[in-house]
Amino acid sequence: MFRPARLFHGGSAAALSLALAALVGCGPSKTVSRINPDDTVDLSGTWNDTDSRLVSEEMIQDCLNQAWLRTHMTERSKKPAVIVGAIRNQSMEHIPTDTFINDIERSFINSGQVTVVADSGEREDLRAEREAMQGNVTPETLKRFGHEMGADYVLMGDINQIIDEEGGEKVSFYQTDLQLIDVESNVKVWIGQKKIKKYIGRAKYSG
Amino acid sequence: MAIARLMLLLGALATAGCASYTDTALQLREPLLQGDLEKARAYLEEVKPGGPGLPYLMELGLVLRLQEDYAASNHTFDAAEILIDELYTKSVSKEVLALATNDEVIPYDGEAWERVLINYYRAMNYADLGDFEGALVECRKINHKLKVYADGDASPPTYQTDAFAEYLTAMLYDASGQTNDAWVALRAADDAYVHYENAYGVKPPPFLAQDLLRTAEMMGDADGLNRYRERFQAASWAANSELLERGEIIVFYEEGYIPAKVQQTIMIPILRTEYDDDHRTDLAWTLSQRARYVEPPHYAKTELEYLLRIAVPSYPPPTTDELPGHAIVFAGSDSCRSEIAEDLGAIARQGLQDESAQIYFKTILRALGKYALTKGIEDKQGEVAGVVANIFTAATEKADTRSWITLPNTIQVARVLVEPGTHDIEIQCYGPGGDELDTVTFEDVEVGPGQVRFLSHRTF
Repeated sequence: MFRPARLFHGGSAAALSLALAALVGCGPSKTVSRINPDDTVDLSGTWNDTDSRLVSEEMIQDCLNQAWLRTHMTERSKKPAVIVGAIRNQSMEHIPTDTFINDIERSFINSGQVTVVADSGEREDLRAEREAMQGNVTPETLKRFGHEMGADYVLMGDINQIIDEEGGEKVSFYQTDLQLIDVESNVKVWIGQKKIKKYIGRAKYSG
Repeated sequence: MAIARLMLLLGALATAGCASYTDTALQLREPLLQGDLEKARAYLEEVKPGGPGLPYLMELGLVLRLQEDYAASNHTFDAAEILIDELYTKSVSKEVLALATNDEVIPYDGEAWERVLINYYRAMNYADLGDFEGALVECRKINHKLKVYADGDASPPTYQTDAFAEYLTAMLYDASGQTNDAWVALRAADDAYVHYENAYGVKPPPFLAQDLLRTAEMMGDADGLNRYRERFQAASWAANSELLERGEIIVFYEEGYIPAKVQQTIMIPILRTEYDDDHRTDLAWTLSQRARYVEPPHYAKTELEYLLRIAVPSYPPPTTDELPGHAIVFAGSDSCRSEIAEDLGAIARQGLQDESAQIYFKTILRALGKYALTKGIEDKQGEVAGVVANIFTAATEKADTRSWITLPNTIQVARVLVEPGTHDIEIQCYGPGGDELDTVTFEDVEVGPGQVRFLSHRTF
């Protein structure tokens, strides 16, 4: 029987514990706890769900406060219809742009000031669905062809990233540029920009 | 002093009984040679050579890529990259333990070139998945990594940049219409190949000159264009307008295996007149010089204090097997012979050479520490205890032979312009002696006008 209590005395205890650590390993046991999805948790320093949500909310807020919306309402007296188009990931991380696009659409819809039209991929699926309805559903619930709403504007943009790194220190800078373009005239009615800067420090040594 | 003895025993247990990394990992090459990828993967996952961290994750990522399971390969390489990032923070306790035992107790964080190649394979995985945006993310990661290498002093002296990786990013940017980024990467690749030619004897692939000329013209850089015309007088190149009407097939041909490190045991005599444990560091330096460059001194048996036994990683001398072969790519009505763009064998050998002074010094210092401990035990507890301690110290001495051993020996590039449409692309692979190794055909490869298709093939 191994009795550690008898062994830990004298100056070799530290060295002994090192040798023991090598044998036993020191993996922490797994812990799981639920957290609020709105809480900010920064682990690796990369683009995360909080960035996606904050950037989309702030940028769309800014977008809706600008002159184009009032001009549109005065000229056409109807809510503008917007498609959220391609947001290109130009960063050094595999940012899930789909999640970001969903966050933008949600911000638009929740504002109540803009109608969001399905994007090209979704439209294909919907057309297939309408196709499938023909001859299969009751006449009262049958949806007609040729009644899709055309978009007035397309929102597109990109996410860029610059990393400055030296030793264990890293500053990660993200810049999201979005622009809202009038589909008929190609006029850019709004350009927005949002920057995020993160400092990521890594220690040279741990215990 | 029972504790000191127990400590040695524990230390020995912690490392003894494990074969060197190379011994265990090399068995992976056998099923790969036979083309049995599933067996290779099963072996990896079961044995996990070197434990669950690196280089296991790199070996697995590459085997998964060879199995065409690109998403799983990316997932594995991602885990490898996260681990490398975490290992930036060194564990003091493991470093101390390494001083008492050997370097393999420190988690492996990869050689500089291995870290870059992770992104090469990930870029190819994304390209194969049809996700060009993802491939370009990997390119930007490569450019950033190489910039950090160039700015910092962490990279080994010879491998400061990676010409092939720069050129790879240029080709991917170019294929995606990002001419500006391609132009920056092309010029970086051009500079890097000057260094490659000096350091590894690898000349820039001829396609690089053509790309530089074409892109200089596209960017409206008249000075640059003139300079390149003077430098590459023999180069004939297709203008961008021609490329827009045709398609291009770019093949990455990976051949052979990177050499694997082996453990080399060296006996270094220490004379009684020079042994002085109070100046251990100085002695370690003298002995490391002796082990690396100088003939051992002549001495009488009575003059000998101790025969120090150390184990260091080394590469066996190059054999003819390591000479690179080549491939010929047939596409449409044209063909192209592959050109070496990256000589990983040379990079790895030079890399170990660069680190060798540090490895010898550290290993000898550790061996001297163990000897002093043994001597102390012998003085206090007699010769038998000394012999026992000696056996344990010898058992813990092991060279760090870890590396990514499924990597190819060279990466070669072949480029062919084709008419837009569907083509069968045939790749004939030849060994160093001109013997035919393998012929593969990529059937029905579609390429539109102005489009580029990236294909890759590996022979072992």
